Amino acid sequence: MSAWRPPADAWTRRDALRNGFSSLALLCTIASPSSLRRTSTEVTSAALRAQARSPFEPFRRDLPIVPELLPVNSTRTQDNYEIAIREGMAEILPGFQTPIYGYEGIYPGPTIRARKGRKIVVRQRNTLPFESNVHLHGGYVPAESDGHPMDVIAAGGSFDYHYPNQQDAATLWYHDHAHGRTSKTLYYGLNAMYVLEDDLETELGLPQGEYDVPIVIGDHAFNRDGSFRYAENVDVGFRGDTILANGAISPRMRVQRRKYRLRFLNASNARSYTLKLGKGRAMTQIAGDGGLLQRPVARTRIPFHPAERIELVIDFSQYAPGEQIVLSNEEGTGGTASIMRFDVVGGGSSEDFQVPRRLRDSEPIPAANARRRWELGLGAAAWQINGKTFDPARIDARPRLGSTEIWTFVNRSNRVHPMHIHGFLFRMLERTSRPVDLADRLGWKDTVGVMPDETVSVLAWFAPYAGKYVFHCHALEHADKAMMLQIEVVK
Amino acid sequence: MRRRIAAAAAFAFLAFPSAALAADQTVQAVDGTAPDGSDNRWSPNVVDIQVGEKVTWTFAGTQLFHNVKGVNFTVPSSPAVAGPDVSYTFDAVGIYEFFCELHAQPMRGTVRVGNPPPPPPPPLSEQPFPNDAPAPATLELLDETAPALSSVRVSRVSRGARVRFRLSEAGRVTIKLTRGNRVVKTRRVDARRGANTVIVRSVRAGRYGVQVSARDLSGNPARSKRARVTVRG
Repeated sequence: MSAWRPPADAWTRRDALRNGFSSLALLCTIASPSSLRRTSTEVTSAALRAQARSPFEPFRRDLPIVPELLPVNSTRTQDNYEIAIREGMAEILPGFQTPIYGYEGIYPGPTIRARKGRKIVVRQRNTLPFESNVHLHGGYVPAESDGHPMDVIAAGGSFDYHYPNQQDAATLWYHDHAHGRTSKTLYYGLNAMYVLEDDLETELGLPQGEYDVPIVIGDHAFNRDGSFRYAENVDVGFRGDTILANGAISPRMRVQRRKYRLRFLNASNARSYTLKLGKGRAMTQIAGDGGLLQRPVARTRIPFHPAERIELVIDFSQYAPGEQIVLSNEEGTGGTASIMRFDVVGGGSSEDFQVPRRLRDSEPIPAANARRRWELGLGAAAWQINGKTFDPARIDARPRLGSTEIWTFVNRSNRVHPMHIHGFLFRMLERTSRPVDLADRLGWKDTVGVMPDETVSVLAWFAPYAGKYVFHCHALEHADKAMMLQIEVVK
Repeated sequence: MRRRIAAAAAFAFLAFPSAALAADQTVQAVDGTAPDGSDNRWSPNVVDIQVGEKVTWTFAGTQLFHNVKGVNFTVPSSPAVAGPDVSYTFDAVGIYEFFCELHAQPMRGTVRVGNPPPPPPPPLSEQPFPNDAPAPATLELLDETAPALSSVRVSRVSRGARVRFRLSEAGRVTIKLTRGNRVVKTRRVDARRGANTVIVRSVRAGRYGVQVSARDLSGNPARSKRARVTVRG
């Protein structure tokens, strides 16, 4: 087993000694906690090593299915969960152990499946030797449970996050948001899916159960002992040379000849992708950051920026058993070119489900009552928005609760800035580099990739909760250094 | 045997390349032009020599006060403008540092004597493990072989027709009964690999053309076959 190698300034060796370095060995011997429903496919590392020509060879492992968290108890209206934020070990390179930080010690963290209208309380216990917190990305969450960068859980402490789940079905995710540290803590594993379902979605008859698969994508690099290698790059952000899907190197997924619902999350620090299936086969996008689109959109190339989510329905009944189709990243080279591969096996084919032509109606929203312009650029020593960096003592904007505002992001740099607003959703209005993609016009978003020298306008709706939130660039190195401003939604 | 000696000699040459190249070295003091003196320097600031060889520090041409002082050896040199050259002969393997006492920060240098052991490599946890896997050359592996439809036999049954055929792989088969140019009956069935039998019923008495076409599961079409059948009422 390799020694635990922590992020350089998130954890010091002295901390490690003080907080019980030796207990790690014990942690590593514990299999996945009993509260987890499913475990990934087990293949011995020796067998994998014997087969593989290089530990990085793609398509050697089956796509791990991320376990779902079960509530510790439930009442008539609410489910209670408990999560320990702790260290763990993951076998990512065959035959190597990779130290990680993980929710319940696993990477990606366990998926929470929630239902609209049913409250969830997650007690997060921080067993790490430094502060942490949890942000539910894309969720309508009261400010005190949002995971504001300054609301942290002290080392050894815990906090109950209340999620009302009063929003339409969507693929959300939860991750660490302690200020100045996210580029390392997310890279080392503190990210996980939060799938919110509702009755409307159930009525559509979309693929469920084992045919509804959340997939977390991230780029990583490795050291010779198998540990994650992190090199800070405040300019372009971290770029790894290997793509992990659900914690496996460009895995394969055995699919039956039928339709699958695939929920993709780009949990990379700063890498943008362009997804492409095979040589450009059609994929049907049904949902984005904020849930279902008004209608499905056929796509062949999908730009995919950090923190965005994309839900696809892919019909594998058009393929014969034995056929293989690669989902690739058109912008990648070498180890970052292939995301995963679908291996078609038998079964299915008699399915008569068709993706409905209407998925949901667009809801009326009030007309905009303010315009704000945010200039994104590099200052003397830090990334800035309107020439300012994050100051928790300062409020940079005070939108009225329930109002909408046109926010214009003007990118004055030559880097992509995936801009994310906490706690609220927005609609895309226009962008200067190209027409807004149809799929982006037909749904809600919470993150938009603003391209170099581009201007993007969105219509943000500041409902349903008042309070202090932040908005920031989701290239984590930019957010940490300190491309983030604070808003207070007032009544 | 001779070859072995030659190989050993070649190995020795490769293993100690600097032994053949090193000789006495001269280090020149160079004035900086920056107002804060931050670019005063030695040229070169790292020299490699063998045991018993000599390094000479020269100040010729300088217009600022300089001298040289060894960290772990001693040379007689005091600050002066274009002071006299000083030399030192190194008699032991090791790494020796020197500097100018007046410009200690920028003007530092190192004498490496002999073949000092290289610094230990960083631990594995700090060595990059680059991904050497190439990008996939094929983005899709598809079945592009057309299936073969053969042994098509049609016989009549009561108010219908029995169609027998062989298909080289599983697929979907369409059977059309035609009368003149008009299609009067169409049946689509999932066919297995090998022999299959399909009975088309509820057909009026008469003489029909039968067209059998097939596609495999990935949609590749087989060459269709034709036959004729007379159905009796």
